[in-house]
Amino acid sequence: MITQGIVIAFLGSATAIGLACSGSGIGVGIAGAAGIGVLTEEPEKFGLVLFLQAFPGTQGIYGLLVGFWVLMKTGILGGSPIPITLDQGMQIFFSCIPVGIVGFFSGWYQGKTAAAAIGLAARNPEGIGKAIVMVTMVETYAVFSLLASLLLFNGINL
Amino acid sequence: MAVCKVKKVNIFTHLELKDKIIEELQKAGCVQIIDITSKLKIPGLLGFNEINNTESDSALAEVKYCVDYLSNFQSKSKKSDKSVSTLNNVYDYKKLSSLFFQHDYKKIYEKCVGLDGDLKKLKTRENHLKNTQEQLEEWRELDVKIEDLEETKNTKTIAGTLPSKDFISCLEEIKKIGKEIEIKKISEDKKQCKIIIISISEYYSFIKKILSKYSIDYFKAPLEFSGTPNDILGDISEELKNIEEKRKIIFDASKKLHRENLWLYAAFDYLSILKSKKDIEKYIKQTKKVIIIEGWVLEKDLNELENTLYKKFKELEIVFSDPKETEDIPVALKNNKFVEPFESVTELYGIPKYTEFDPTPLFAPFYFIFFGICLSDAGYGLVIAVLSYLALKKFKFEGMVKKLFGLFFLGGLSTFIMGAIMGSWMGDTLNYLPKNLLFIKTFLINTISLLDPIKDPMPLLLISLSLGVIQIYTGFIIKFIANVKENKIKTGLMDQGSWLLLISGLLLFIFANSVGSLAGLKIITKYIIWAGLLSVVITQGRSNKNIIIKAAGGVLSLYDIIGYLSDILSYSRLFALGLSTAVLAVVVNNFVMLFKDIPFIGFILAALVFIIGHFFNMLISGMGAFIHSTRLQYVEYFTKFYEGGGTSFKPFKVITKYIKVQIR
Repeated sequence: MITQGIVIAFLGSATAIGLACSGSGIGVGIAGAAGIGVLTEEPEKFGLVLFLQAFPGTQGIYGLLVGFWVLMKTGILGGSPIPITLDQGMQIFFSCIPVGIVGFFSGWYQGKTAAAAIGLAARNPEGIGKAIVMVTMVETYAVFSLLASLLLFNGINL
Repeated sequence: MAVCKVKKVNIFTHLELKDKIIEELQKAGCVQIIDITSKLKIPGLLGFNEINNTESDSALAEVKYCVDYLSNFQSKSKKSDKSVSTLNNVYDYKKLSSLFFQHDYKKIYEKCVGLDGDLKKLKTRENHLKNTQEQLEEWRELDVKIEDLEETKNTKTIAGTLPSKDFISCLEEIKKIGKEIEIKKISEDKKQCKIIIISISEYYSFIKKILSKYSIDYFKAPLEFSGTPNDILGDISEELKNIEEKRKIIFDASKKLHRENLWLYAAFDYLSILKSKKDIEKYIKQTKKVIIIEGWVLEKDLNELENTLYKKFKELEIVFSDPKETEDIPVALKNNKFVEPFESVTELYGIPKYTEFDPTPLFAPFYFIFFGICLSDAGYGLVIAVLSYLALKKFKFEGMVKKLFGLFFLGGLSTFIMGAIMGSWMGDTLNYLPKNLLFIKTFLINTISLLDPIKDPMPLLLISLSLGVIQIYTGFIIKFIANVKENKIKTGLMDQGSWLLLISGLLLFIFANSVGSLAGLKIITKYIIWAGLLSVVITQGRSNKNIIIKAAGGVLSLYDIIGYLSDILSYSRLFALGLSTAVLAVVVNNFVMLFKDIPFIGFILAALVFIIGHFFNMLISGMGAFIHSTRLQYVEYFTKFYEGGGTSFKPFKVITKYIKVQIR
């Protein structure tokens, strides 16, 4: 049965997936452009560059994760949605906000950091360990937002 | 364990023995030779002048050229290609030189240069032909022989492309010049038309002026050919075919050359070894009769080095001495089998200084557990462990790569254990087992599994945070012990002791508050917190001179408590990543079930989705597990006690690129 709550839950799932994946898209794009710059000079660094480019991709996965979890728990994915009240729907929507918004911005900015790390990889491959830590610092907040979304969602009685 | 002891070694010997000693040192492979030419400024010592090694250098360059060129023609199929097996053969060090000298690399080199040159010429010609072909393709309709477009004594010919809309006005303008002009339109479409203009030479410059006004695109006739464009196009495609055939012949010749001359790989490595020996000579000082070699050697290799050298040579003197602390002493790590893979993580951060201790054994157990919690799926763990074990067995990795794969293997094991505890086997795959196999699920979930983070996430979150508390405590305690060992008990007590007191007080307070029956403990914890606060405020501003700034510094340092708390919160990532693996795996299984209902091919599609989906999740989550476990060590743990920044011990030894060399 389609209730108003289900509609709002849809909005939540869409927000989580849409925003977080956009952020990852931007970030991976920025890092990829820098990576191609390095590859024109040193094609043998492909593996390392790809590894670094993948970093801003995680936000999208976190968003997808939360979005799918919402779809699963509300039964939308299985084709038989459970009746959800408007209040529950709003709760679901709000629990999706952290991973969506943080995913968007942290993915974007992690892309910039990853691009800088790729630049470093071209000049000084030994410093790569430290550069990865810098890139991971951005990731921290994406993980925290995922944590927040998961905990918020878990607090909803469905 | 930990950082190896290093000794300095000085070898004095007669000049004549120089080459033999260097070779022996390279074979022993346990001495890092230091460049002392700039350091030792004793009168009478000479540095080596530019050593004349142009000959072996050029040989190396030429063999490298051959190897680079020929390795492009490695045949791909494994059966016909013996190079793989040949290269895996182990070569005897002594026989390398005879192997090199029994072949004539110059001849091969010339052949390679010839073949390579021919290939390049073919390529240039091909490009030229293709360009011409493209140009002529547009003038296919021209029914005039190319050579007829050339100027004669009295006439000149212009061919080109004009925009169609300008054609008529251009025509009229040209006709005004005079009568002795012939204009012919070859072809026309909506945008362009191709024209030929024949005129007497006097008009040529006038016509050109008009044409340039209409932005004509001249046709530059390829005068090297003869015949109509159509004929020429035929010739060109004929020649292109020819080129392709010639190239195939060269390819085959190169392949054959490659097959027959696999010794080139060995030759390349032999020459590189020679070169490294020559290069190291530059580090050595000499007088008229004597040379001095200085280097680092690990204490454990000391006796062996002494024995081999004294056994082989008589005219030499070896002196060992303890390193001075001011020197940049190289560092080598030595750990047991379980801890060794984790050295890769230490190396990524920067290995310890010689005076520091090796942090690897101190973080290895933590890393092991963290990786498992982050990935937390028994199925994935099993796959990773088995794959990396097989990789380790099949490819005999060395150095960093070997350690990394060892790390993955251990991480896989840990993941298997943690996954079993959390009851995650490729997500919730166990739920979909057929009924007669359900007892497996009952056993795995009900008997072995202790937690279900998807249903009840709080226990795992608390476990993650507690692990954080434990690790940060450990960090403080390690630093404390390090201070004590360096006879800085006071510093240790003030810097680490005061903080330990305060943080313990706070944690106990939280604990006492959450457990109701511990009212008595609550009062005690209050005192502990006050004692901690006081000791932090008193001690942390002590580096300042002014008493007021001292107090202010102490109070300000309380701000660090926020840092430590956020350090602990940072460990919640273990929980988040663990849960995300589990949930993604469940999502994959949901998709699999959607595909299952498609008729006929449903089962195959479902299997494909299962494999690809879980593999993807394993890859992404595995990368996350590796990175975040590493980060927790670097950012939260190492900052408490570890600096790093040493230089690693790089002994002078036989290094080969293609072949394996048996030294003894």
